[in-house]
Amino acid sequence: MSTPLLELDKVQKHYKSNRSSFLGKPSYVKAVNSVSLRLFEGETLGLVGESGSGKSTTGQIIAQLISQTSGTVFYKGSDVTTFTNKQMKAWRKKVQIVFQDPYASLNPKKKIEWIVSEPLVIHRIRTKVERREKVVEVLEDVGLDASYLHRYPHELSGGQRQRVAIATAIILNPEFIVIDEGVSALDVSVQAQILNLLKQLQNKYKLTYLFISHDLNVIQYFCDRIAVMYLGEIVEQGRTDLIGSNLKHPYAQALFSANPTVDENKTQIVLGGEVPNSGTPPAGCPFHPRCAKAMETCSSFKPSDVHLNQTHVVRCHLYKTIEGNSKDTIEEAIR
Amino acid sequence: MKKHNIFKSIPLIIGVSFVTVLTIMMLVSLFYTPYSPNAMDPSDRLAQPSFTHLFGTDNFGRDIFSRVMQGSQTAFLIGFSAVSIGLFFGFLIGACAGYFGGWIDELSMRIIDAMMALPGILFAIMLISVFETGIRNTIIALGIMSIPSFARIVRSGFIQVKQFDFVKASIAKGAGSFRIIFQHILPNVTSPILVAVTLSFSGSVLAEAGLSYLGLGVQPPDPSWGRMLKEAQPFMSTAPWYVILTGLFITFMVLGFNLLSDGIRDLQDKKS
Repeated sequence: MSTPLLELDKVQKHYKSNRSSFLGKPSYVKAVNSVSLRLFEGETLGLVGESGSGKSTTGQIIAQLISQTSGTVFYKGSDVTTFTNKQMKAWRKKVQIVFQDPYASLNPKKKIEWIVSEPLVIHRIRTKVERREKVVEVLEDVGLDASYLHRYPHELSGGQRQRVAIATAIILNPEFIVIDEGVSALDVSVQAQILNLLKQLQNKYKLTYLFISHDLNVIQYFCDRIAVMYLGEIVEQGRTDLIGSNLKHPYAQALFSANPTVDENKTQIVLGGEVPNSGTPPAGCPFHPRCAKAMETCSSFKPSDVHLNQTHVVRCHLYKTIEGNSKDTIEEAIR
Repeated sequence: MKKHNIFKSIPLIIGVSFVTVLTIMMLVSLFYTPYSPNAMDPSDRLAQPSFTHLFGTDNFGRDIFSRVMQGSQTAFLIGFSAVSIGLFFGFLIGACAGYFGGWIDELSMRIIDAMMALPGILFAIMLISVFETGIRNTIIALGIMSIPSFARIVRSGFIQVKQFDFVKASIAKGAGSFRIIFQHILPNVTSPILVAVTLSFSGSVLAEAGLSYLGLGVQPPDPSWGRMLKEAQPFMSTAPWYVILTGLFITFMVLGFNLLSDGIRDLQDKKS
């Protein structure tokens, strides 16, 4: 069995929040709480969840822009936290990140040529003349052309800027790209163009994507698998075709039922209450105060991952693991 | 972003013209002054302004206009050098504090706080009386005085720009601290730094005039507007033009740079 391209093993990220008093104990906000994920070559995993559920933090931990409090990130089986500076720099060529806001992700004082060629300069790849050829090549890959070389970001539209951001991400021929709300800031028509572009690039360069979004329609269209996050935990993950009637976790069911569609017969599950403060998450299952199907055990014991079939994992007391579906068999089923 | 904004800012126009005129005067004085600034003429003491002596003469019969012209060299030299010292160390401290954060930030900001708690001019007087008077020590004292404001402005700019996505994106592409600081953050914090530079320039000129007036700044034979004011004081009633004209030039210089900094800030506000 081959190792996954990227694996998160019980990753946690806790932020220290302000003490209540000078002598008081500092409290911690658990932005990401025990997240385990596996990503296999060539697939697109969609990470969904509401605001504050820890999606973006997870994405930035994968790109090692922030370091996790505990847990491990494996890339092709090796622990990235043990990398030396040199190994880290080489690894950064393989993993890229595209951000949500194309107005903030390009340096406003630099021209497009400078921005797109920067990764080549950082890694001392090619000479100046060859770099320009590569920049033009990549700009054409993302649907722009050489006329953009000498423009500044403020001269471009949101969609064009996002294309430039994608160009900077693919110029190093990465294997893996984290797309953090990559199309959320764009108009719907432009969103479709960018999503198609990302698909084309995936086929051309054999890319693996982690696609973070709160837009359920986009996730449904774009991803092979989904993972649903709630309060820093992944409560359910499985193939995208589960969406519809086969989602098992009460939160995931509620989330997808809230998504407006043209289906008139669909019943919408309305959740009561507020999202709890992630500084003081509820004991037991984090979702139990809002869950319609909550049982007694839910408030006292944390549920563990239940493997419903080879690809479908849910973290809920309502379900029991079916024999023979361990996490090691997931990958074979995906293929 | 439009070019014509530059001409809409009245403070900027006035500031630029004052500073330009003074700069030209300073450059001309390097090669030419109507009279030798130190040539005395006992027969023509405290003369009124006229076509022979544009600003009149002082109590030794020296041409005031020539001395004012030469004094501008000192003013520019001190402003420029003090700002350079302040900017260099202030940038170093502010950039490290803002970029690295944590205990480096905490430590350097407490040192800056301690420096700010001491009134600048007192600090300069203390330095000068411990060491000795003269242009060099005045520059050093005024330079150290201006470090805190630069450090704080640079630090806040760095903290603000550091969290932009383009900085994170560049880190994700493998960029080192040096590249992040000089290619990504610095170009985006130049305007507040420029405002601080012009403000600090006028502050240094004023502080130098003050110190020299007290006799602690620039010493003879180096010309200085502050010392000229002091020398003019006894003749305020007999030769009022002496003190007024000298004071006017200090005012022009300070006002010019202050308006310049206001103008730059206006432009910056319009942009954002």
